[in-house]
Amino acid sequence: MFKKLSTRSKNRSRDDTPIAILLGGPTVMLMIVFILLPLIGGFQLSRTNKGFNAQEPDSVGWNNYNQLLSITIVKLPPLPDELPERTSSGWYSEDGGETLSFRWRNLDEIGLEDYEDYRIWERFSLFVNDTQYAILAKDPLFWTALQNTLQFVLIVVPLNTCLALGLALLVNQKLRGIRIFRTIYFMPVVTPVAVISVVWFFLYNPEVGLINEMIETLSFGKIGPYEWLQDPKLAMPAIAVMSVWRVVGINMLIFLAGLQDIPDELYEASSIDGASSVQQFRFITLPLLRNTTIFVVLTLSVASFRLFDQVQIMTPDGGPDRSTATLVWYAIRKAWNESQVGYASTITIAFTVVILIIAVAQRLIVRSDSALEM
Amino acid sequence: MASEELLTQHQIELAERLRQRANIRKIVLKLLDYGLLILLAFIFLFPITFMLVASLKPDDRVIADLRSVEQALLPSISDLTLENFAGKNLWGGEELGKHGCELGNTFGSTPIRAATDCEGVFDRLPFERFFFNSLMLTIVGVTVGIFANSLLAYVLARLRWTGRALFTTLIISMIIVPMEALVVPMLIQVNEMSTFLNYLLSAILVVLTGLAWIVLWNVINTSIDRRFPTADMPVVVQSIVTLFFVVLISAPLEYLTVLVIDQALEGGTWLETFHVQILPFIAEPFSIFLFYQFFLGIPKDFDEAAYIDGASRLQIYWRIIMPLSKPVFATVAILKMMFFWSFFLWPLLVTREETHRPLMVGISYFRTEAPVRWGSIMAYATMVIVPVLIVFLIFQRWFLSSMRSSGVKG
Repeated sequence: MFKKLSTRSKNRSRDDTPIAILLGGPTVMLMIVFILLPLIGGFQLSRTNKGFNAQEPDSVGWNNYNQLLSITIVKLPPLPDELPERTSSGWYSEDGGETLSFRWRNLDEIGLEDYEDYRIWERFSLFVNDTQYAILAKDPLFWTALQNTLQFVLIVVPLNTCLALGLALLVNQKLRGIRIFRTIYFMPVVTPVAVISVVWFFLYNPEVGLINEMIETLSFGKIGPYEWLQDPKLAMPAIAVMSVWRVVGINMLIFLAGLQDIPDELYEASSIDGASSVQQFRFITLPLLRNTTIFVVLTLSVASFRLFDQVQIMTPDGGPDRSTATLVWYAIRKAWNESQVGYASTITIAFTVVILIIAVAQRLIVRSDSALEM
Repeated sequence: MASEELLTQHQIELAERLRQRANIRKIVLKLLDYGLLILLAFIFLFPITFMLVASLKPDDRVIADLRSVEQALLPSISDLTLENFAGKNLWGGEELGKHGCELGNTFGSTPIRAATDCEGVFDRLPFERFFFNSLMLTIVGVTVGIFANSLLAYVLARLRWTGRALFTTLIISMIIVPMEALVVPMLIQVNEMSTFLNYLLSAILVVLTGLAWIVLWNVINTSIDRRFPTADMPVVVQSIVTLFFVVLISAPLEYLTVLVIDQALEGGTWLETFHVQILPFIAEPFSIFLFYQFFLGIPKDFDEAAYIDGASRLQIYWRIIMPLSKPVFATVAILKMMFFWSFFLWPLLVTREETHRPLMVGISYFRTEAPVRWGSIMAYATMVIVPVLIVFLIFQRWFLSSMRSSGVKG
């Protein structure tokens, strides 16, 4: 009889649905309104030409996507044997010998009229047997932004991961005062990005910046001052270095946790067997850190793709030669500065797709289920 | 016999020398170790140190001192001054700084030709206003966020209802969506908020406030009962005291609710307000996930015992789950605090006037006018960063464990 009573009270399936709705409903509704609706709205917007005004937008179908993503590679026709004569102020025109100012030839002038909506992507040029190939795109700046963002990710992720692992190993030692160092290495993480970007902007100043000053002092003046944020080749790496400086602390902690999870007996046993520290590192530490490393690499990649704050503060116009334009920066620029919200939504969708691909890749690569748990 | 002793003596000496060499090697390695640690510490600290030191120097010395690294980072005491903080309008005063702002002086690249040259944007920046705004956003965002997210996590972890598994998976999968993907459509959404949504959001916040009141009433009543046991206090007095504290503690939530109701009644755009910077970011899948994981780890026996004693689900939430969850509450509080305090992108887009702008957007003003007053800028940066650093140093342990579980924002 007692048994029956207890099963009855347990199986009296407590349906908590009403109270669940009451307690959880508000938060869920907030997520629907501010996460789900914008996601759907973004997609809808991307098929219109909405501007940041009160006007009703027109639907443009897939035009925005067409404009954003059209890209092709063409063979440029060879230069004409006889180029017009160049004077000090420009080219002679072909008829009459008048002096005109120099200009690049338009695509229809070199026989590529089919591509009148396209422009040459200036970052690419390929010569094969004296034939020049060029990439044409309807929106070269998008591809530039994509390439810049990729470059940033490819600099930051390996650098950050290796440094973080190194720091974690250093900080894992049982030295006196090691906790102070751990705190110090972590400190940049708590500085807000926008503000610390201003400080670094000053540090990177070519004439009076401390970074150049330190390099000059250390190299006795041999290594000249660099124009960090003004040189197209250096701007993105400079921002990358700053980002690594700021974030490596978190990854250091993650690796530290992973290191501390490795049982000491493994090290003890292997050193009894005569393993050197390098061997221990290769055969014990690294394999057992595999999941942690994957976690770090993938979260870091997703986070790095979202680069915006530093770029907006340090190089608000996208940097020299647009070398620091990122995807998010470009989307905001279109939406806010140029009031092309529809097009900006298209850029946003492209950006989201990239992120989703990385996130899905994480799910597939990771073997154990405990990847998300730390 | 004698030869055996001699051999042993030789071996002892050899062993002694080897041991000394090993000791020296250990000491040298330790020195190198500390050396490396200190070098790295310098690398990690020098920007912050520079900022602090530069903020204490008048503008022209900031530039001049950059001739040498030591002078930039270790200034001579006589040069230090607080004028960047006090005299130069950081507090809204009117006097021009005395150092470096004299006519004819040249620092940076632009000579000063008129008194108005000295009145750069930074002198006119309403720093206190920005600070207050940031503080407001952070406090309201963190408190409401903790409450809303933990409630939902409790529902997901502890209550039984149809579709719970599916819902949980859906919510957790939303963690992937980055804020930047939503910013552009949200801009339009928030500018053209429909009446329906306005009222819906008001209703949501009213319900949330009601729940908060119930929970707080319970808690405060019980804690008053504990402190003043038996019938020391007539019921009416106790109710009034409880009510007072309930309203006080839930003030941020009440404020947000009032703002949104006001908005619903007035209609129009959500731009240039506080609630536009807070409300969209209250419900956050990752925080919910953190709470959820933690709640799962609390043994169900406590729940069952209280349930049999007649406690309602909400009471279980407050009496049992909350007190046991201090670590995760601290973690989420810290994460959300960092988020709101350093939020830049969205406030930049939705506020163009200074009335509701937070500190982060304020600092981007430094670009808009020459000459660049580096001393003031560093002072501004210091005032933004130093409070966070102090909070960090005090609550180190919580910070480190919370960041560890959060991953990264690059």
